[in-house]
Amino acid sequence: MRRRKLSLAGALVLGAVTLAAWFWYAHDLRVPSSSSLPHAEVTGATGSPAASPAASTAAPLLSREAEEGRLLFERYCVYCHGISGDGFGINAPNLLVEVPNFTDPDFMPRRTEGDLVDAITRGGRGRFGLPIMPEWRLRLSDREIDALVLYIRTLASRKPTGDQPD
Amino acid sequence: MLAGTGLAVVFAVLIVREARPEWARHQRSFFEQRRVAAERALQAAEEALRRPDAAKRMRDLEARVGAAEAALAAPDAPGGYAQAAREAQQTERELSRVQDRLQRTRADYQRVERDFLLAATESERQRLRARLDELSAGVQALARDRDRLAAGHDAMRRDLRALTAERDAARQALAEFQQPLARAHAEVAAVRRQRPEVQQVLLDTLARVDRCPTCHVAAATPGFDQGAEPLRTHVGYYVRNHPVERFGCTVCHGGQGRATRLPAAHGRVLHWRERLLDRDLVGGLCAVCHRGDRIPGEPYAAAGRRLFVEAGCSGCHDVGGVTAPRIGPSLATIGKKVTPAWIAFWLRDPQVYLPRTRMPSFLLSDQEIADLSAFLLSLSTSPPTTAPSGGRDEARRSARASQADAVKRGETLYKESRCVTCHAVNDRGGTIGPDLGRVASKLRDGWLAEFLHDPARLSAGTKMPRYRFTDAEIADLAAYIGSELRDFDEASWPAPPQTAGRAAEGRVLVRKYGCFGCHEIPEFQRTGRVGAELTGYADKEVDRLDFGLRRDVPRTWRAWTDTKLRDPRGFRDGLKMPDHRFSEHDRFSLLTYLASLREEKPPAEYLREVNGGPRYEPEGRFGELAAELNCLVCHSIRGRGGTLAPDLTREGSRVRPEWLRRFLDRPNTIRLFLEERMPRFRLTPEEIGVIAGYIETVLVDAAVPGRVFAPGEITAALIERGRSLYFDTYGCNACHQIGMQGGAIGPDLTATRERLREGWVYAWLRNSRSLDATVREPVYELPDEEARAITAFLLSVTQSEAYRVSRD
Repeated sequence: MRRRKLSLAGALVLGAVTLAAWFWYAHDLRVPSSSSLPHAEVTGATGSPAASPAASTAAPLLSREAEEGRLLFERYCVYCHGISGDGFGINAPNLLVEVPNFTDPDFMPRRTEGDLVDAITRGGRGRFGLPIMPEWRLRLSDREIDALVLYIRTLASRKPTGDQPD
Repeated sequence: MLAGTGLAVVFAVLIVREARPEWARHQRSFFEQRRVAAERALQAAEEALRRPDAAKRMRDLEARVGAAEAALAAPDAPGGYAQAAREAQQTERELSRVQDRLQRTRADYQRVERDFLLAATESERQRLRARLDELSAGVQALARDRDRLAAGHDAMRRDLRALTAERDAARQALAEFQQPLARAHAEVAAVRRQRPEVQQVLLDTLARVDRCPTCHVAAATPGFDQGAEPLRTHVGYYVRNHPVERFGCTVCHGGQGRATRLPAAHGRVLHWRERLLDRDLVGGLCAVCHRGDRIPGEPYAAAGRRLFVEAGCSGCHDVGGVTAPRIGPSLATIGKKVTPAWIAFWLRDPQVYLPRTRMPSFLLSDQEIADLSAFLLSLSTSPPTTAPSGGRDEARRSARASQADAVKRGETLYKESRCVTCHAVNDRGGTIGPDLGRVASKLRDGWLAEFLHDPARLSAGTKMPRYRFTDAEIADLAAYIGSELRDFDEASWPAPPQTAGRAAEGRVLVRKYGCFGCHEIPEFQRTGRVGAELTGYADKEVDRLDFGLRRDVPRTWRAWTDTKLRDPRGFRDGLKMPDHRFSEHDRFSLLTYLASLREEKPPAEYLREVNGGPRYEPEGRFGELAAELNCLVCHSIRGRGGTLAPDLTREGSRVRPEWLRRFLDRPNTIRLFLEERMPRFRLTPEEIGVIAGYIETVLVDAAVPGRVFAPGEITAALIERGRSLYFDTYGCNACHQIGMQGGAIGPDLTATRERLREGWVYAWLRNSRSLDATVREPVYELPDEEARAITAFLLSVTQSEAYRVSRD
């Protein structure tokens, strides 16, 4: 009787030890859970930079693609479209048509991605024979045009004369 | 027995758990989703075929096939298909028989020929020769038969194909119609066959094994863009350009490739250094292989790399493989250059004096400011001068007499010399040189005149060109700057520290703060940098970062680095990193760049945009002039230089020689909207000749044609066609001007005939990208006829014409 009790106890102990060991090692040694910094919420294709521990009051940073779009916009487009996209670029008074205002909240939602990509790629000449808006398909790659479109979409929500991130 | 059962149960539980790992669950979920999608597609395809019009079409196609087959199968079919098929078969049999005999006869011939050659006697030879002739005739006859039969056979087959054309076409049409259904069936079958198994990518050159696709099965499958992780299609163009078979996943994302279970797979375990990066920092790793100034698809890391040098980080922190020049001005003669009041103002907080400066604030105490000022002001071998030496004295004295005139002359000279191209005045203007809005309050008397006379002598390596001013002109300029470009509010400057400064203590401070990292200071020419070395910083483990007394900072690499950039001395007392007051954009760019500083070096074939090859060096007398005038600060030639002004690599093929010489003498405006202009250096005719000569002979491109039009080829009709293309078809006037009309972005084209070579205009319109890929103009690859027409039009524009061409 005593032997059976002993062997039962031994088996239970063995089982408990096995389970404990399995749960410990099989799940690996974890890093102390202090990585509590919130990971970037995906707000664009690749996510905007995460909020920092100290609250930031500056305009939120653009996602990677939108930032690339911004650099392209400021290089190629601002002369006619204006630095905030409002259509008052330095060359705008020289043009025969009125340059649209991207910051107008009624303008952007009525245009699909395809519309914007088409406008940039084929320009005015390709779409209605009025060549004022140039066609950029030979200068910009597909990826660059996608990045531009992503950035242009953000213009409607940015303050018109606000501080652009330096 | 009870114990045995208990143990068995325990082990059974463990085994069952191990047999159903988490990744299998993900894969099963993926297969399930794909199966559902495939079955839905199959249903849709079947639905589509069941629709009345589709069903009718199907029946029509089947009927067509049936009719065609029946027509062909009938024994006495019209066109005699059956008959023709039989004949073709017979011909084929006969053809092969003839082939056979031909080959055998040839073999006989060769055998007899051998005997003939080995024949001993003449009679033997004669006999064999006769036999050879027989065989040869036989071969020829058989060959003729064979050719005839083959031709006939080919003709028959062509006829047969014509007869079966209809049947084949009908079958093809039916198959195409049913294709979506067949594909859907195949897809469903394929998905049903799939079983969960570990997926891995073996990368030999990178010495990695990545098993990420085991859970992230959907990464390469389109259509899962909205899926929940891990079943999600990879975003963007990255995987297209970096196929998983060649790059794997962990080189860009970090993590532990070999693991198949969380959290080990994401590297969040003790002693695995390469943690999975936050999504927004992943771009930093692009910079590990992409070493250029621009990284396609990743603007922050490229900006961070640039900032690391330009903001002066490299002045204190070494990074292996990054050689950075000193970005601040030399302090060797600062004692003669600036006033004590200014130095104290500056050292207190540079960004208060000049918001756009790159120098950070060192948060110095009053005593430190006093000591440093004393030391710096002692840095000059000659005592500060109050009056310039030599002939400049004369000029100054006479100028002082008519001060107001001098100031006016100086102002004209200032504007003509286009200083605003490089120097802002109160934040308006270029940023290559310092802002001059208050420069007269900064400088001691006499320094400016000496500097303008020969900038490189007083400030080695300066970007300022040496204008060829006369002494009188320098005096006028100094008068203008001295009277207008000063801080009229100088009384409001903070008072310099009252305590006496000790130069010896100042020297100790310089050694402590490492000023020599950005400024050249005698005695410290070779001293090493004072900041922590940052090679491999991205791999630094968290327990080696000093969090000091801060409890509120999460214990991660990212949080520590971000906090350090935000508040450099915040972790504990006694730290000395200065405060740059980075904007959030700059801070994030630097963070991204720092995340790319890994110890592991990628293999050479993975590196991109490493600047190999010799750097362009302008030679000879042109090289001397280019160094004095600092052409390459604004212009680029053969990949070296600045981007402010046009690329000159092919300038000799672009512009006409007379125009070039005139321009070098007196530059005029070509781009209306720019504030920057080419300065007027007041070059001598000899110097102009040297520069123009070099450009015309060396900076040319043989691919640009010299002449495009033969004499008399430019007709009025051609010009009219060009005009119509210019204005109506391509709208060039949206950006370019002719006369007073047109846009303000591109160069003025009124003077094309005097300025540009006709071959260049033509070549540019055909393909501008091959001539200069750095311009902002969209690329127009015009056909030859249009390019000629527009070239003709532009060449025909005259001054009077220019006013006439304006269109509404």
